[in-house]
Amino acid sequence: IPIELVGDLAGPNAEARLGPAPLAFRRSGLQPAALSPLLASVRDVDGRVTLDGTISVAAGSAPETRLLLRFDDVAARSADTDVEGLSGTLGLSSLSPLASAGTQRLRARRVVAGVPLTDADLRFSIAPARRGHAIRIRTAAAGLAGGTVGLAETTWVTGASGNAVRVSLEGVSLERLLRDWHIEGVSGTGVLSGSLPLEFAGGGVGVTGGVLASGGPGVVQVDWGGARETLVGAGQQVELAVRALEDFHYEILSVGVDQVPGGEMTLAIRLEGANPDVLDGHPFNFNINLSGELDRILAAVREGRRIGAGLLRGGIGSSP
Amino acid sequence: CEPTVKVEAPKEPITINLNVKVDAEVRVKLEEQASQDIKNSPEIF
Amino acid sequence: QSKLDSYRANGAVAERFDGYVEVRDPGAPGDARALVNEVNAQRRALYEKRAKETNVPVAEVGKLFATKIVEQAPKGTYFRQPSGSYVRK
Repeated sequence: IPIELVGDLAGPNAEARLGPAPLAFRRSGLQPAALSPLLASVRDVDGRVTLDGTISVAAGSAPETRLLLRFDDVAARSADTDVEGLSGTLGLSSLSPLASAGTQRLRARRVVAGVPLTDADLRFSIAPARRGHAIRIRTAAAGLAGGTVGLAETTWVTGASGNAVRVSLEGVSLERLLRDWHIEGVSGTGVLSGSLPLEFAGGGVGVTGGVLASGGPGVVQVDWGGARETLVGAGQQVELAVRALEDFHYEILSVGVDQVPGGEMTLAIRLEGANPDVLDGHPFNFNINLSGELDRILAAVREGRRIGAGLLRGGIGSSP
Repeated sequence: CEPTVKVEAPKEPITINLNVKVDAEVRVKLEEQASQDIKNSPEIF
Repeated sequence: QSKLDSYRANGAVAERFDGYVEVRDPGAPGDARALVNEVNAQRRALYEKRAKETNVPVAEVGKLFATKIVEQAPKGTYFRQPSGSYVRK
């Protein structure tokens, strides 16, 4: 990194000029871990980061650092988040402890944090905290299946044992969600919104009392495929459910989301409506509890693997 | 045939509770494996 | 078209919800019964292998295969349900 000294060393103030130094990260080449062990958890980095800045020393006052990191279409991965197309500048006023020069803004074309999001836009600031750093999230928004996902203003303390974040969802298209996530055999319409209170602790991500609901009526259609015969034969109630859900016109669709950190996720799906072809459109109230290692399904979604509705049929059993 | 249900009273919704247990990873693999096996031995499937 | 396909299409042999086949028509020719035993033996061996690999109960493996078998079985195949009755494709 080119360093240029400006000013009279013996004199009261001097300035060191750093860079501009473009750092070309390559998956098979330079990685952030080489710059600092702190960055070891960020891997598979690919793209250009340009370092530029000055450190000025004036007699009688602490050295002043102004450093700018410019990201140009950078991709990176960490344990549970992948980023692609990261761009923007990060202005730092101090390196250790790390502190940003006020609110900064970074954007990314694609972020996969459990679920694939697009056009993420984050405005935040970094300040030293008693333990680790406090990342103050001013605004955070991204696209999900035609709608938007946002984070409520919050502070994330890197050294803390736990952090809580509330995720809000608006205008998410059920149709696009099911298609983007390759959920085979299940199609539907409707626009979902709601909020998911997330807790990050040692054991992983937890969700308590998340709710997603459709603003108005819509349709849910399940194509049971080869398993239809098995299910239809498994008793009256399951048969009615199978036939009704093949073309279910709902008035109410709401999904309760709960996730035990590092354990099971439960989706409590409530559907109220009718299938015009079943019992002359007699009204049905469905309470479908979908539970299991759904985070592994999300992992399959992340890898773009197809999730057959067969996945759902296999475990079906109606409570008495 | 469709069971005929005579409903005179105001349409009281039929409530159905369904519990679906999903053991994701294993089932996804098994599903893909089954399709593969069936394709590979047409004489017994 | 395999022998199994022709027996299934004409209803002599039926598929079952548990992943095995059975003779449906008592008047079916002798070699239909032999075929059913042979096919079931080979399927059972495969289901047990897959069950060991994924530690899913072998009965569950059979049921999952059943949903895939039905999808590609020839038109006219009878499908034995848990309740005992048949559904024809």
